[in-house]
This record gives sequence, C-alpha cells and structure tokens, in this order.
Amino acid sequence: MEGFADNILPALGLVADPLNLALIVVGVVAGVVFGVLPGFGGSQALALLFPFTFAMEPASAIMFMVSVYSGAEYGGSIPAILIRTPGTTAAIMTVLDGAPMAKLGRPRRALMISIIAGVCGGLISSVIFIVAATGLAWVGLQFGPPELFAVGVFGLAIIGSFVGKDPTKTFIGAAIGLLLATIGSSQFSGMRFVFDQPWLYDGIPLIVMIIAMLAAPEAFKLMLYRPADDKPAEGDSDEVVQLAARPDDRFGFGDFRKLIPTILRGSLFGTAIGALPGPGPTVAAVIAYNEEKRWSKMPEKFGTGIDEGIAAPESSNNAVVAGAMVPALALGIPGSGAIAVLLGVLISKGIVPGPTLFSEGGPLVLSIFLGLIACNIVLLAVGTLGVRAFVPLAKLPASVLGPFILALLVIGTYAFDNSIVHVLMFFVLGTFAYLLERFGISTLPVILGFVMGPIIEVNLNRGLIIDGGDIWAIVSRPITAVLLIVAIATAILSYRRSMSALKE
Amino acid sequence: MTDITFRKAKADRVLFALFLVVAVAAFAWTFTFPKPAMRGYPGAGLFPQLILVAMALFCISGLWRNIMVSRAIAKGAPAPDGFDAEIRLRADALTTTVVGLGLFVALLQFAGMEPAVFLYLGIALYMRTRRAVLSLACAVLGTAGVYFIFVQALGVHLPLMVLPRYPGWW
Repeated sequence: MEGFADNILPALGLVADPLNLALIVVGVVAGVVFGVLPGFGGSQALALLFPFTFAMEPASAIMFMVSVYSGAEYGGSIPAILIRTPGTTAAIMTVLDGAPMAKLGRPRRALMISIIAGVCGGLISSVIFIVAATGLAWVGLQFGPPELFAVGVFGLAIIGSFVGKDPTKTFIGAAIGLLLATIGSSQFSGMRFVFDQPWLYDGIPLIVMIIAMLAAPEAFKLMLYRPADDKPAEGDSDEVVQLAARPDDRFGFGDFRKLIPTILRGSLFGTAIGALPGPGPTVAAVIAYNEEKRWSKMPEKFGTGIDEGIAAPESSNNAVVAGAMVPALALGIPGSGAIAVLLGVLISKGIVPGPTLFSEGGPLVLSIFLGLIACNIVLLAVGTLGVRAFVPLAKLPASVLGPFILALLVIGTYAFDNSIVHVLMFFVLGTFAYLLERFGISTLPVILGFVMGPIIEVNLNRGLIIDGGDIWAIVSRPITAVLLIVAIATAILSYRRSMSALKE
Repeated sequence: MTDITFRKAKADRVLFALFLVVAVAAFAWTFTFPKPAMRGYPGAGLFPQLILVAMALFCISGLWRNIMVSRAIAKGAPAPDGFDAEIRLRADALTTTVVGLGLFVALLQFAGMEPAVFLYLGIALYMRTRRAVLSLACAVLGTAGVYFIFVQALGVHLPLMVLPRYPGWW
C-alpha cells in the first residue's frame, strides 16, 4: 500500500475531473437503461458501448464502463420488481420478493431496498477490492511466468465448473476461444491459421470478438423474436405497478438498520463469488438469497415480499462488480464476460492488467476504486430519482429493439478501426456465436479463453525459454504443480458432477 | 414459419464429432507452422497443438458420454433430464437476419452509411410492426442518430453517401 499515499491525490483529481464525473453519470444512466431493457445484461451493455470508449483516456474509459456495469446490474431489478420481468438474469432472485412486495402496494419500498442494498453492496465490495487486490497483486508479483501460466489454466478450469450445465461443452467453448486467439502472428515465431490473408496477420481484434461473442447472440435472439413473444407469459403482469400506492410504502433509517446484517452478508458473498472466474452476478444473487433464507428465523416468509429477500440478492449482485475486479486487475484473469470487456478496454489503451499494474500503473487502479465509489453514489441518486423515467423502457417490445441493436453493433465494430474487414469478422463470428449458444455452448468461456489465451501462451513460452524448453521443469515447480493439480481436479470434479446429474 | 428441429442428443453428437474433425485437421496443419528460431525456444505450433489436443479429448469424452447414455436409454433406462430435448431453429428468420445483415454490411461499404442504416432499419422494422409511418420515422431518426453520434461527435470515418463529413455549422 506504499503507493497509496502517493497516488490518492492524483486519483481523486481524476475522479473529480468534470468530464469524468459527467461520464460516470452518463454511464450509470446508460447502464440502468440497458439493464431495464429486455434481453440485455451488463456484459451486453458493455460490449455495445465499447466503441464509445475509443476516444477516451484510459481512466475515463474504465470509469465510464464500470458505471455502465453497475448501472446495468441495478437496472435489471426495476422491471423485476414492477412488472415481474427481470431485466438481467441476475435480477431473477429479486423477482421472488420484489414483485410480491410491489403487488402488495409497496413498490417504492421494494425499489428503495433494491437501490440502497445495491449501493451498499457496491461500496462495501469497493473497499474490499482495494485491500484484496493490492494484496493479491503483491502475491502476483512473486510469481514467475510458469506460475502465471498455471494461474491462467486454473482460471479456465474453474470456469468449466460454473458456466453452463455441461462442462464438456464449456471446455470446448474455452478451447475455441483459446484457438481463435492464436490466429495471426505468434509473438515468438511466425504466422498461424492466416490462410495467406494479410488482414488476418494481426489476428482477431479483442473488441470485434467481444461484440461478436457477447452482444451479437443477444441481438440475434431479439431479431428472431416473433411479435407474439412480446406478449407477457401467462401469470406475468402486463401492468406497471403504480408507485406510492400505500401509506406505509416507505423505507426509513430504522428499516435500513435492520437490514445491515443482510446487506453485509450479501456483499461478502457477492465480493467473494465475483472474485471467482465464472459464476458471475446471477450465481451470487442465488447463493446470497438461499443463504439468507437458510439463516433466517422465518424462512417461510421468503417469497412473500419481505425486505431481506430483496436486500440479499441486490447487495450481492452489485458487490460482484468490484469483487470481479480483484483477480482481473491483480492477476489479469477476467471472472466474467463483463470483466473481460473491462480488461479489453484497458488492453485497447495499451495497459496490461496484472500485478505490475499496481506498482507501475500510477493512480489508475486507485482511480478505478474511487470511480466505483463515485458511481455507486451517482447510482443512488439516479435510482432514487429516475425510477419513473426508466419503467416505460421495460415495456419496449423486444422484437423492435433487434434491428437498432444490430445496426449499432455493426457501426460500433466499424468505428474501432474504420475497417469493413472487422465488420465482416463480426458478421461471421456473430453468426457463429449465435449458433454456438443455440447448440448449448455458452460464448462466455469462448471470450474468456480468447482473453486468457495470450496470457497463458506468453507465460508458457517465457517459462520454456527460461528453462531451456523443458516443460517438466515448468510444471514441477511447487506453486505451478499445485495450481495445475487443483485445475485438473476441478475439471474432473465438475465432469463427474455432470455425469452423476445425468445418472439421476 | 419454417422451424428446423433437432434432437439435442443427436445434435450434440454431431457437434462433438464436428469439433473433433476440426481439431484433428487443425492439429495436422500446425506442423506446417514456423519452427522455433533457436533450440529450446517454443515454436509457433506448440500452444495451438496443446489446445487442439485438449479440444479433441473434450470432444471424445462428450461423444463417449453421449453414446453411453443413448445405449442405456435403448436398454430401457429413463432418459436424463433434457438429454433428448428438442432444439428448434427458426430457419427462415435466421436466414432473413443473416442475409439482411450481409446486405447491410455490403450497402455500408458500397453505398454509404445513410442508405445502409435507413434501409436496414426501415425494412426490418416494417417487417416486424407492419406500420409504415412508424418504421419510416424510426429509420430517419436512427440514421440521424448514427450520423450525429458516430460521424460528428466521435469522428468515425463511416462511408457517407450524401451527408457532409464536415458540415458548415460545425
């Protein structure tokens, strides 16, 4: 933490810059809008808005994107509470108690619990982030290339355990991502998989890959919606619940005090789960809700519209944002699609995420931390004041959104380098990504494999060069061996778990 | 509506087999990659080879599991949850989307941003809503939005047909 004192003032200056503050506000509002929109989550919003960061400074770009992500994670809960339709998958658990509470005439209370728990989750995890990330970065600095290679493999093995129902397909997805990352010039010798095409010499740009793998499948799904799909499913309310319907529809300080233990637990779950590669905010929300119910003295009341049922998932899914930044910035391991996009922003600005970022990155890391706090404060204001404005967005028919989103993705891809070749790459990879998802291969491990591929390869090759080409010398180093054994054990366990699920 | 329906178990088998073939073919190709510049240095093919071996193993394990479960079902065991579900692909809508997107990209390159965005949004929205005026208005607004945000505010060099890149009022 010795750089903390030196960097705190420059970092504060970066966050207090009027342009950056404006970007945080715009990012939070844009994030909430995308979170409210049907079919769009945090990672899709980030992929779609990536092109807008091209002209920004690194700190501004990352603060903007973090604000979008936090806003989107909160935004998903607005339609979840008011029209029983989660805007993001992470808001599924909020529906369970948020919608009944709103239906009982207390929608404002439900929304206030959601925003306050979410903001507290974000603030608590931001503090944990700066402490944990600095510590983890110190550990990372002790690692050599072989250990960093093993950390990368370990990260991918964990992803296989958490993403999707079938680990085999998840690992195939990760392998596709790793393979796509090898297209183009090898950093050590010669070209690979370029088919003698000069436009492939530089490989597939990360931004094209992010837009194609994360945003295109959702846009395709919107395009393939039948107009009939826009009608609410049976049991879902088509009505937007009126705000302030009952006199006791308030949320005071006394109510907040009672919820502090729940919010703390949810925030800790969210931060810890966010730090693991793979699970993401949905798993965090599910675990936080279930644990809260398990520890509650009145578990039977969960699902009827109680405060804890909203506070637990909301605090945890917002805490994931900062939690996921810990391994991402300290070790360069993205824990989710959204964090992969955030790393992509840094990489596109020439900044390499990893332990050296903390020692050599100047005030950037601290400005991200302070930016997270600022964006949570802005989120509190936007969430409290702007609920009425966001609700109609949730009623936009999904089928009409598709053409706008797809057109924006094409233009955004072109904007990256003014190149039609990248648009063609997006076209091919986007179609491929949609088909992969349709046949049960999630594109999340593909993008994580793509981001991790160069990190794993560079460290493996450096290790080989240091050890004279002896791969055994690399894998038999104590930390490397332990990490690789745990990675293999994790993969085998997830495979066996899916086999036993099949037998049942 | 033309929906193509696949049995998930069969589709998975084809998927694993397809990726296995790709892995084997790509593995063979890696031997043509440049050799290491110095003794002890890794060649360009080493990392892709490791990935492709892993990929082939995953595909074989997926195929093996799929076949074993199918055999067990054939012998009377109950089908695991979701194993033999249907995968429905809206072939007509998917083809329209892909062809439409392809035409949009071609128009963008050869005609310019304005006709590409205007026609794409206008036609796609009309096909969905059957409301001509609304579709037209959305197409005009969408085109104007892209022009002002990307061309004017962000300075992206999108190919333009009629609108000025540096308008007099700017």
